[in-house]
Amino acid sequence: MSGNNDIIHQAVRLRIMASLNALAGGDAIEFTKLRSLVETTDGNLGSHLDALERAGYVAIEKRFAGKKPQTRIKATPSGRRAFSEHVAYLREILDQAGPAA
Amino acid sequence: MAIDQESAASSLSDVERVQKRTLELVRYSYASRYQLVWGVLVALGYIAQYLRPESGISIWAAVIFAGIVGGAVFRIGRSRIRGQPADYRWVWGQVAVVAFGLLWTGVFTDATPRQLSALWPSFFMFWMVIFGIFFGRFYVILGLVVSVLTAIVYLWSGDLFLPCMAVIVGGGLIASGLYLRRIGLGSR
Repeated sequence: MSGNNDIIHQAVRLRIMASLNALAGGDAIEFTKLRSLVETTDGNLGSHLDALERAGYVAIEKRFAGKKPQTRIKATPSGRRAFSEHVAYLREILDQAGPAA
Repeated sequence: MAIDQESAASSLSDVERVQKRTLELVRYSYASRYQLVWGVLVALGYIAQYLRPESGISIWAAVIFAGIVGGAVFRIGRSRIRGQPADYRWVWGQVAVVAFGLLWTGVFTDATPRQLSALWPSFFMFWMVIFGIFFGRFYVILGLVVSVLTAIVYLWSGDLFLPCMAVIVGGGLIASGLYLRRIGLGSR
């Protein structure tokens, strides 16, 4: 059985990884759009992204689009792997319960 | 920390919801490019038909050909960037829809140019609504709005029918394409 991943299981971080994992490999998402998708605040998203970046699960790129600063985030290969394993772990927990009555 | 079944179910539901919404926005971004291309082509087609009604068939053949070829080129380019084999199903889908429409509007029935000019966008918008039921409410709204406006100008716009259609169908596709580009998730 796969193990629990405490870094990813936190609700906001799980939503972040779910969104990044839905993108094609190598694709990144803008900070503001990710914030809207995971339904959180700038500060909260920033702190959770820091935690995921420290774990090596996401890569954060800061650049300028014209004169406007833009932060783009993408899942790393190890982040995608960790997310898939954690989702498999969650499914195993449900499977152990057997079919719902 | 152990995770109970209720928490696991709730987390998986969260994952599914966020991924579904993310993919919806990715699709919006891709669709925006097609809509902008088709919007410009269709607007030009209606204006050209208004100015040269006798060349209607040639004008629309050129518009449809340019739209399908443009879409195919875009998909091939995107596949190359991603290093994936090109997927031609979307192109064949468009060819099938056009062939079906041509058969029933050009061969089996005897519709007037005005009727055809209203029928075609309504036909595409009908499929847009069906598509939207599965992939995003935006398409449902776009399909219904354009269809209703098409019916209105068909009945009441008189000689300005074709310019009105250029604004409604072409303008509608361009405006919605720009909107989708703003809300969608661009790649790389």
